[in-house]
Amino acid sequence: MGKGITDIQPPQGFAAQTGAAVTILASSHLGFALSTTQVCSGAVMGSGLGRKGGVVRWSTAGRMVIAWGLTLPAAGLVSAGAAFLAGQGDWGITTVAVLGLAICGAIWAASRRKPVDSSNVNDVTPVESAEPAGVVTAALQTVSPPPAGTTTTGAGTIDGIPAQAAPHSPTPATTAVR
Amino acid sequence: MNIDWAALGQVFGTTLAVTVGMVGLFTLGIVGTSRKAAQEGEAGGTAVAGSGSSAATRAGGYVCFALCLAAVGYGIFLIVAG
Repeated sequence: MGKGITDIQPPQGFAAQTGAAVTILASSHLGFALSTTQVCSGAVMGSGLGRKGGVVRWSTAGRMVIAWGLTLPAAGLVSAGAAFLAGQGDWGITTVAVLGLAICGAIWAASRRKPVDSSNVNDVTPVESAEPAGVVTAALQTVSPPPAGTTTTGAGTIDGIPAQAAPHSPTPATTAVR
Repeated sequence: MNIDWAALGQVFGTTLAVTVGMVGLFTLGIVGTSRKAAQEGEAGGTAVAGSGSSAATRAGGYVCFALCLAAVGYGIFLIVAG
């Protein structure tokens, strides 16, 4: 979450986790249930936006929301099937257990085709085509100064948006009048 | 379906206030207890840090950290006692 949706540094991580913890605590104190994953994702997105020059990759966030939307009904269907089968008797329970183990084994085997281990877990997937900056990001970029402290040219720019003009450069209209 | 907007509003307000407060306090604590604040203090013109290693600012930093710890302790108390 700290690299795919947005790039965050430790101060943003601290802010995100504090926000998530307070939300979860306040909400459970008042008695309502919530999803920790969704609260943490929202907190990370917010802290990514809050950092000066921060950009949120909305396409990744969109994919996460779709995944949330699909997994709830999918989990519901799978457990409904399993409960129905297990309700048939002892053979049903055994079948559910065997099927569960077999499917978990198959998924694990499929995941080992391209293993993620300590050598590549922090790699950022290369983007095939530069993601066009969204409307909100473009608007924010035009009114906010680029992040301070960058020494390499182009480090503070986003593909698709022209680099920030110097704040005190005179506009052509005012200098062309003779 | 009825939505308890009042409770949602309470959660939102509490979260906003406490999160901003805690992150701000922690930042003040770091600024207060840091030693390099002299240069950045003058460049940035912050009112808080003159020279970071003076006793008063360091004490202020420790107070801020203690307040953060108190907030965390209150949270744990809420969980355990609730």
